[in-house]
Amino acid sequence: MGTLKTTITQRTVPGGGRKLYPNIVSFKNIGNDELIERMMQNSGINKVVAIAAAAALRQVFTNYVLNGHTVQIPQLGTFSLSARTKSVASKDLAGPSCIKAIKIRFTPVSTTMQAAKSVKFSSLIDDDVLNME
Amino acid sequence: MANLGFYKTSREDEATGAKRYTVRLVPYSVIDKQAVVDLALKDSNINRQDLAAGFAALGQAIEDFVLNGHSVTLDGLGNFRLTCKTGEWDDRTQKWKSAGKESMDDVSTDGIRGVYVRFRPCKALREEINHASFFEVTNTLFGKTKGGKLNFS
Repeated sequence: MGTLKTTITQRTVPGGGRKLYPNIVSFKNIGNDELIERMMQNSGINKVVAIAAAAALRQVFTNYVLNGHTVQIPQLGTFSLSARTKSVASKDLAGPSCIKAIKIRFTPVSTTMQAAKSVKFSSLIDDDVLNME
Repeated sequence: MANLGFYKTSREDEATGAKRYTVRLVPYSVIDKQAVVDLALKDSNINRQDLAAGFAALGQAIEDFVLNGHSVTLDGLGNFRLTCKTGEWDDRTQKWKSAGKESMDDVSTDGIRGVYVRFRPCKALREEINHASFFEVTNTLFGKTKGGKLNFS
């Protein structure tokens, strides 16, 4: 398990004022190409299969998750939709207008969640304060 | 385009006791790992075994990168990364309290109470969801829905 890069973040607190908090930041963003390379290295599959798997994931997502199904992706996790709603006084008024927002929920597989509990942190970078709302 | 089913449901308002109505999304089905491969095969020209191996490799690679502190962006899908929740455990109140400090010298990684893998969908997917169409579902596998009460007749 790797060591996570940490930093100090500044946030506004209720009642005004700002406080400082520890936070984690990514070392770098991994794009499609690097991900495909890693897939080929880790499991010996060829590039065609790796690209097809990534494309298939997108397809399954678009065809099924966005149409209300809960989808379990092997060794990754489960995607589903959830809605934040408001209530109304009468049954006739209840409808799509009650839906305030729809979110895509992702639950990683249990092994990933367990592994995330045992990550290590680098020492905080004192001179790297990020401003956040 | 996203097309989502909803059903009407009700609950009692705790304060007034009046009935309040809202809607919930219909969970059609859970497509498990085996079924995902079968469905993906329909739009793919590679064989079942290779596709299953590809999915496993994809999940493993994303996990490897993310748990080593990188974020991973899949084109047309979204971004996976680690985020953290801050807090300090207060033994006296037996509750979590804010880990916010006035001075940088007082901030430490002890204030990180949990690390989580988060997925943020790409802009195209978020827009598709925001423009989803809806249809009402009044019959489910378990019977008719009527304001939250299921009838098995």
